[in-house]
Amino acid sequence: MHRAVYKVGLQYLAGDITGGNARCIAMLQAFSEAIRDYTTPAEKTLTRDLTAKIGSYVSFLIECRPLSISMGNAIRFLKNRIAKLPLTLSESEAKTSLCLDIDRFINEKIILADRVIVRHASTKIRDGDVLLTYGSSCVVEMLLSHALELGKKFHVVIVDSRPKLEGQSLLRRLVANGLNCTYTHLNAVSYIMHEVTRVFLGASSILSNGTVYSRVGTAAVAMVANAFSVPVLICCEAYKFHERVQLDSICFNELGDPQAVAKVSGRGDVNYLGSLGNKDNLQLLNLMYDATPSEYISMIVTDYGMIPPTSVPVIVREYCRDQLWI
Amino acid sequence: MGAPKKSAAAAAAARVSDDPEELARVPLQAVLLADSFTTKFRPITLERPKVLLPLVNVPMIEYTLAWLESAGVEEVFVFCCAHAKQVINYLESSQWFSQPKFSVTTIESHNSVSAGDALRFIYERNVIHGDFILISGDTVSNMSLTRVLQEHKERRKKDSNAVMTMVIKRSKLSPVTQQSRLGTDELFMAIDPDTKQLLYYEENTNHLKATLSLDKMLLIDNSSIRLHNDMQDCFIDICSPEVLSLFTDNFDYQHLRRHFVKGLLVDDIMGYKIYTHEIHSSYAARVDNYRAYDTISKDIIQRWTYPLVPDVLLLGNSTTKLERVGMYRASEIVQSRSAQIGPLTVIGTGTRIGDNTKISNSVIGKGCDIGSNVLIEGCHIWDNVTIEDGCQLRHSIVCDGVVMKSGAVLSPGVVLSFKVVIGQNFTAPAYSKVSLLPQPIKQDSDEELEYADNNSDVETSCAPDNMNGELTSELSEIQGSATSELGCGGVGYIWSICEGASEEEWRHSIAPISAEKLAELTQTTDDDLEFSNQDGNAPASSGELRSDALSDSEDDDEDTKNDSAYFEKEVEATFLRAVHENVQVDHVILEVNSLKLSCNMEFSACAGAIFYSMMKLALETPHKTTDELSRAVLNIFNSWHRLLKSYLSGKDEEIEVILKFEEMCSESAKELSPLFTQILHHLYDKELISEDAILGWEFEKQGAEESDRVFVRQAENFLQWLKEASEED
Amino acid sequence: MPDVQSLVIEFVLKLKKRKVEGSQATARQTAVLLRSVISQQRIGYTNQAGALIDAVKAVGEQLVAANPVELAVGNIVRRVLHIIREEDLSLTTAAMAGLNLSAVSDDDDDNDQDDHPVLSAAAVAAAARSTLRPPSLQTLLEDMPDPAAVPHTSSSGGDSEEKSKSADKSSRSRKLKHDVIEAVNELIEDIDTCHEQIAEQAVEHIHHNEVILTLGSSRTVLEFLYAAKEKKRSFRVFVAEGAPRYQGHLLAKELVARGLQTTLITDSAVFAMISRVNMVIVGAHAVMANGGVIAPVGLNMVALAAQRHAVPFVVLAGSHKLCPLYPHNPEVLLNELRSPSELLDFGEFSDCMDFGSGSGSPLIHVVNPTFDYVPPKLVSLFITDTGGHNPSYMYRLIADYYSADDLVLQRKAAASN
Repeated sequence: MHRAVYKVGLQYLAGDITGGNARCIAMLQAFSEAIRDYTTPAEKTLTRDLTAKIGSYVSFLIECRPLSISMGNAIRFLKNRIAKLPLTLSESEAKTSLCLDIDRFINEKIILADRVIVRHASTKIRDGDVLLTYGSSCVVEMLLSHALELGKKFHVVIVDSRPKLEGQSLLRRLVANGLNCTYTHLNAVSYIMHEVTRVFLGASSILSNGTVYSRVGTAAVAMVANAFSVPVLICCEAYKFHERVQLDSICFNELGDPQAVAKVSGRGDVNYLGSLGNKDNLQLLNLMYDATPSEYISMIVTDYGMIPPTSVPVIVREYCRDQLWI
Repeated sequence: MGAPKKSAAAAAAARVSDDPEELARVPLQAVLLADSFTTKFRPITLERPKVLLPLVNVPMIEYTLAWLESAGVEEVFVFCCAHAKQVINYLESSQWFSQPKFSVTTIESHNSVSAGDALRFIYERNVIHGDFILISGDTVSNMSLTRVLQEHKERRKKDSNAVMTMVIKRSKLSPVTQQSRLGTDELFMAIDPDTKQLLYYEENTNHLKATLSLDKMLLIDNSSIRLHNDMQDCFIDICSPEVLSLFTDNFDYQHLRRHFVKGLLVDDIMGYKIYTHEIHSSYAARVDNYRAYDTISKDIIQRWTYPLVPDVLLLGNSTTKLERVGMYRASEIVQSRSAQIGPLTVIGTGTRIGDNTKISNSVIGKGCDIGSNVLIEGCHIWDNVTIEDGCQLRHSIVCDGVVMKSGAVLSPGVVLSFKVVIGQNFTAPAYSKVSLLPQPIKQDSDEELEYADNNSDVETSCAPDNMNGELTSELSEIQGSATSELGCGGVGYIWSICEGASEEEWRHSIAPISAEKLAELTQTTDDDLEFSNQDGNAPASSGELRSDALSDSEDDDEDTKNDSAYFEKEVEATFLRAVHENVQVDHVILEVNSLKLSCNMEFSACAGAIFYSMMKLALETPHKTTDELSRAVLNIFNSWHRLLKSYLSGKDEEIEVILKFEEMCSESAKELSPLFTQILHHLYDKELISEDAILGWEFEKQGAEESDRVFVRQAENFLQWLKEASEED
Repeated sequence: MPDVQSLVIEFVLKLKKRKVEGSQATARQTAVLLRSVISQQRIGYTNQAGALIDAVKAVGEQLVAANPVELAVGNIVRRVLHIIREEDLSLTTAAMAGLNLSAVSDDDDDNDQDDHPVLSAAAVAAAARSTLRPPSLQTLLEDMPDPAAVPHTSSSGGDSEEKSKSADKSSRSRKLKHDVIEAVNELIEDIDTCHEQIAEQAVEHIHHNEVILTLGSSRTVLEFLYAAKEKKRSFRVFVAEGAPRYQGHLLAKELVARGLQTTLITDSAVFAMISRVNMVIVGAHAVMANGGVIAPVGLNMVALAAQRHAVPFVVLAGSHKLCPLYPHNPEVLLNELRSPSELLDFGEFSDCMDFGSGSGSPLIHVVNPTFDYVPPKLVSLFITDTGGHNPSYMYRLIADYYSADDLVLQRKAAASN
């Protein structure tokens, strides 16, 4: 096991790296480092052996924390590149070419894509808007900072929920930028939605039936916004699109630490379950993601432009072909 | 019905537990000091006691009493001193005297000048029989007392020396201004993390004081200590009856914290202990200054003090409804359709608001009349204020009955006391304080003795009862005399800000600190950090004890000019002391270094200041001729060149010294001017000033006016010689 | 008298301080307080009902003003007023019958009158009763005078007619008071037993192997689920924790202790889980006349999710929670925003709330409402102590408990001041 991969894996496990993009970038950089240190063993071909090696890294990472769909896409891309390596290349040339590919992927598909998304989405923010976001999405955060730089006058509502309370750190960062923020919890979303003019949400992945797979609670926010006729905009890089389809959130999900549900951090007065221990008839369920049905979504902002959720399969098709020619 | 029963049950339980102390169960008592013994709210407090000033349209004392009542306190002794009559009259007309199970008793004193006096007075009355809560009447809280009382009682059972429990709350300091959000100074507390015992308490009132020294014994006696500078003292104390007798025994205790707490902490003979209780989810804060007033108002509007919020009827009687985005509107408001009322605003009953008026983040009292096109931002406007068309108010306090004529402008930080009239189109300068009463001439110059004030000089001159009559007579008087001061038709005096306080004004005003000031402060703190990195003297900036916590990065709070003058004076004093007491050079260097840190000075300034003090010393040594003077200078150079040298690390500093010297010769010490070249030569000989620096100085002076070049010309020969010497090399 | 007054003050203070938790406790205490108000009220010979109504209204106004958000107070005040009116009416009709019959037999006493099926007074009684009902064609045609005036005129008429009957009057007044107190006692008992009454119906709604979802904690829900379990139904309960008070933890603990299969989930997982749920059962803070529900915060979201997945959304509410008012802007006007400290740690964010630096205007605004409004279209069924009802039927159910004159309780009282 390469040390860079090992380190990233442990960081996943400890929860030091969170967020789809950050995790994906960390993984790719670790792979790139591993490839740089890689030497083909005797009597083996680089293509096969490296693919196997990457495979073993991936299974290690999965053990640390299940991969997100976007990471799956990135791995597929990498394996594809390895497989497509011309046999004529020497080992060092092949390694350089792979590392370049990885860098390009990070740059084009994530960093530049974010910039494009931010530019597209900021055209949808007008003066006097009240924007609602849920949890903490790095693209949305970039968008808000960008819009602030453009001198737009708007107000942000941050909706947060247990157990991660990611919104608090977002709140802290936005307030440090001088943005005017309202903070509330998910249950109060119906109360606050009256004041909101637009909802901006991030996504972990967008599935080809238009379903948005994202931090648990996103679906509820989108649903309430829909009920109050507030447009819901999803900001998501195209590399996170996937051809899988899913109708509900149960079939495919990630389970968090159940104890995080029982313990309410920062609230000493809420400790009813502490004494309960492990009773057979008590289960604690900590879902990490949920699937937002496409009808709640007004628009998806991607690096390819702004599309309705019905166009996702088109992007997936184009993107897959694109990925081959990258 | 329920409570007496409960108390009986509690007494019964106590009997079971066989505790003789508990047998005689006394009702929970509280001492409420309805006087802050400070002058921070002047000029307003000249006319009305602080506890009756409205905080979000409700007198402060209401918050304190409502909290005490809901926290289960049964007997409250309200200690009144300044404006005692007003406080008593207010309480008599309020609901508090008619409460079942909650008795309010007033104690009136006329000659108490401090909290210490007040407590001694209460002790004499012999009304406190058990543990009591000591607070002042300007405290806003919603904490529950059950836990802290229980902790206090348990500790008392084990250790009868645990006389007091202080309530504290976490609140971070602003990294730039080094003050809490309540505008109070940085507070250092050392707390034993296990027992929560308070071991050290130091309020850093002196912004120039650089170091924090902990007694070594603290570290020896305690296995672990937690040092906080992010704790806010809530000024809610659970006291045992001994506290009162301690005040009586130590008749010099005046201030609760500065004398009493510190006194107990230092005194290890009696072994009295003070403990702390940190509150997390509940709120507690004390209105100590204008900034605290503004901050706590905002906290109340933001509902941190729930249920003590405007729309819950616990306070006052007018129904206020909370609307979206934190707007509180009382009933019977006349508001123009075109008026824009922004977020987090409270508007009192019967207020009228005209067309196109914009109000945001403000509190407006009852019965105000606000005209059209008025802009109100972050203001506290009390009752029955008239604001005519086109006025602009930013971050100000406007007391009852003020009239602002059309077009008047209040800059941030203005305080308008009762019934002031601001003339048409007059602009009140920032941080100005305006009152109908002239500024008392006998100002207590000693800042430390701020408790020794209030009622003595002013109270007698205008007792509250005949205030109105007197005011009206005064009004006509003022109208003649002071119209010009507040514009056409204005009535009132602008108080001059007493020196020393002027620099502090921005710290405690209700206005936010201006961007320039912040930038300046950031600059200085940055410099400090930079310095502490290169200087070994500064404590390491690591771990929880951030450098700003422990070290000396005190920000300068004065204008740079004053600052440098002050610095020079300090350095001079240090130097003179060193000369007279034969202090070692190293020690002087250390002292000057710490001064430099505390004033945020450059090395060059140090060098300049030291040089200046040397010259001054030379001038002061008795001399008759310039020769003797020159010899004196040389003597001083001989003995102290090492001190000067240590600050002359580079050419820039050396040039600074020459410039300083030049300035002295031309301004303060003309006597030295004939000796300029001679002394320059001495400096050169002693290798204090390099050739480069002298030539650099000459180069700098090249473009200067002829009058500025006097000394260059005087030193022409010397310069010439230097140039030749270098060419020879 | 001062005794009652101090009781009232005490209760008003408690309400103001938000120290009474839960609508059931509030309702009960209000009823007990009103009972003592009635029992202490000295009433003259004339217009006893009017005097009682005035007394109750005066107290009721204070109570409602003390915490306008706690609708149960107003409900109980109105219920008591209704009881007084009803009792008075039954007595009046009897008395009128007595008056009319007095020509025939003078020494008829009240108790007997009650038993008489009084034919001659039937028309008057019907007319009087009609004032307690929503206007009908008949009342429109008959053009009845002010209802409060009816007992008054009738009794004073009786008075002037025969002064010798004053002894009889006082016994009647005592009887009125007695009857009212009896009825209020019944009301208190109703409030006490509403859980059981609702829980009795549990078995009709919960079946084997079902999955029930609830949010937060409600005693009624707990009893309801437990009753179903007692009847040997085995099912699973998903409990959403109900931020920011996390009462769901408490409910989960109780359910586990009583041996129910319980799963605790975060509020954010409600939408994800609801597709596996058969029924949502929740408690309410108050039920409005239009069938809308003032419920613990978060339930509107749950109701929307349930609607999307066609999961029945069942609201359990004791009759004291039925409020005869129609909601207007309920999210704002019938809501209470609590302290931000339930969401954010003050110390942690104190530097973001430093108004000394920056523009001086607060950048963080924390919103922590207590209640949600669930519109009637999202509610599938109400289960009250009298059985299950559709949201559209609530207005009619409510009309049984209250008289139309009391709906504007506060405004009338305010105008009189």
